[in-house]
Amino acid sequence: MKALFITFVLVLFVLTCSAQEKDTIVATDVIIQVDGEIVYGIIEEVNKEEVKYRNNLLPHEPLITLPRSLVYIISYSNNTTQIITPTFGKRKIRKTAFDENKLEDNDYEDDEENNLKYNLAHGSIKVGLGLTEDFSRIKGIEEFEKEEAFPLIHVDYQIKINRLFIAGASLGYGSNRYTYSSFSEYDQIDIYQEVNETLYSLGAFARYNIMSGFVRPYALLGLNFNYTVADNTGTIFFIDESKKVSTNTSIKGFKALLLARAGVDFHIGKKFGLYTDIGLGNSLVQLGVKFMLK
Amino acid sequence: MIYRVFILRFNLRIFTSFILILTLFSCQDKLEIFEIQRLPVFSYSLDSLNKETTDDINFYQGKTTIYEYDDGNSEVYKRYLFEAKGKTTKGNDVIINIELDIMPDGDFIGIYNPVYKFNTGGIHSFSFLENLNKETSKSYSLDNSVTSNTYLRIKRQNTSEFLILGDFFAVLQNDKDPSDKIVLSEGIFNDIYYKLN
Repeated sequence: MKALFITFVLVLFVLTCSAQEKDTIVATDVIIQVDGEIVYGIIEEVNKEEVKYRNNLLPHEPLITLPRSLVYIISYSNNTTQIITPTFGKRKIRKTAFDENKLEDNDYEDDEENNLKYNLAHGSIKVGLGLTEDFSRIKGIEEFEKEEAFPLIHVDYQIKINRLFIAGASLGYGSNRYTYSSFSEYDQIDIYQEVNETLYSLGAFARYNIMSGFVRPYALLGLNFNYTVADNTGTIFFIDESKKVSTNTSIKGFKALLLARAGVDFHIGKKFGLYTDIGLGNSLVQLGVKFMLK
Repeated sequence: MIYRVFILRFNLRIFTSFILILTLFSCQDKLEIFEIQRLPVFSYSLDSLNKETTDDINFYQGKTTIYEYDDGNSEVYKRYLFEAKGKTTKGNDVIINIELDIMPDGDFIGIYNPVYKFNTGGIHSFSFLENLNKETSKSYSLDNSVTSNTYLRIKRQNTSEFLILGDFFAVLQNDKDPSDKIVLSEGIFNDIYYKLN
């Protein structure tokens, strides 16, 4: 009798557990947006303008509203589907759904403002240093020694075009100093030359963000115009004749330069970040800080 | 609206043209850097009258080697040939041949005379050939009576570029008529490339 009772209790326990487990399986609807993003939730309402759903993965299940224009299709848990906005293969710009419980919009990329005026005033400023002094384009000074240089400093201003594309302009400044000293015993000539090169650069580029988040890898393509001023002073001392000849020449020129770089932004705070990139341009590697105007 | 689109397209064309012009005509002058240019020169005054100059000069190691007496392995001197060809200001063809015996250590710097110095060497022969293969041809060689005045000095040697420079003076006599003498004074040779065997 006792064994029968224990068996009954066990069977009851198992059945209870099964019933509880079944209760946790919640029917989920699937929303496919026009930009391809898939959202899971429970559809609450589909009206002429909006689609309202609750995200069943969150504990408080807030009501989220999406404009109809952003919803391509809804696949209901009862295996029926409803096309909301036919796309005909044309993707639309993603627009974040309005979340009633979301009190603060804290991401630059999630900014709903896509108009040019707003973006122009709320871009980001990057200040960086070129780590390798690769910007010199002066020919004929291969045998010169580089003595000291002001590292190439870049200031970029970037504005958002859409979620992934950014356009920007950059200003750069750098200087190099080269010296050449040679004494020829055979010719009895002592030569000293010094070249001071100053570079100003102006560039424009388009940048593609590969992903969003704390770490934001990107690739950018553009064109730099460098204006270079180089002053060359030199003296030749003819030892045999005790004669010294001094020269002073200057060249100015500009050069167009392809800008193709890949790098990473680290968004440390809402308004501050670090970045580094590598590629073609005035310097091989750049390292700097980023300030977001928002 | 159509007007605005036209203006936009027009501006885009100007902008694109500007970029293209900048890209295509990017320029940067080459900076003027001091360079030493080599210019071989061989010049002298003939009888203190005319300054004769030529740039057709060869200085090379000959096939002759002078060995120590009774020791075929100990080199004393190597023979080098100095040839300068040109025309005098009077229009005569001239060939100057100088044979120098130089120590085999490769250091050419020194003063060479017809009277040899053991540690330097000397001038084996010095000839001045005028209008060779013509009826008016003349040949001059060292005047043995005043050999002490004749010299050739290699002042400097550039072993990396194989160059020598120096000066010379010579008193020569006609091979057929010893009373006919010529003097090569203020002789200078500069940036002469030498060949080693």
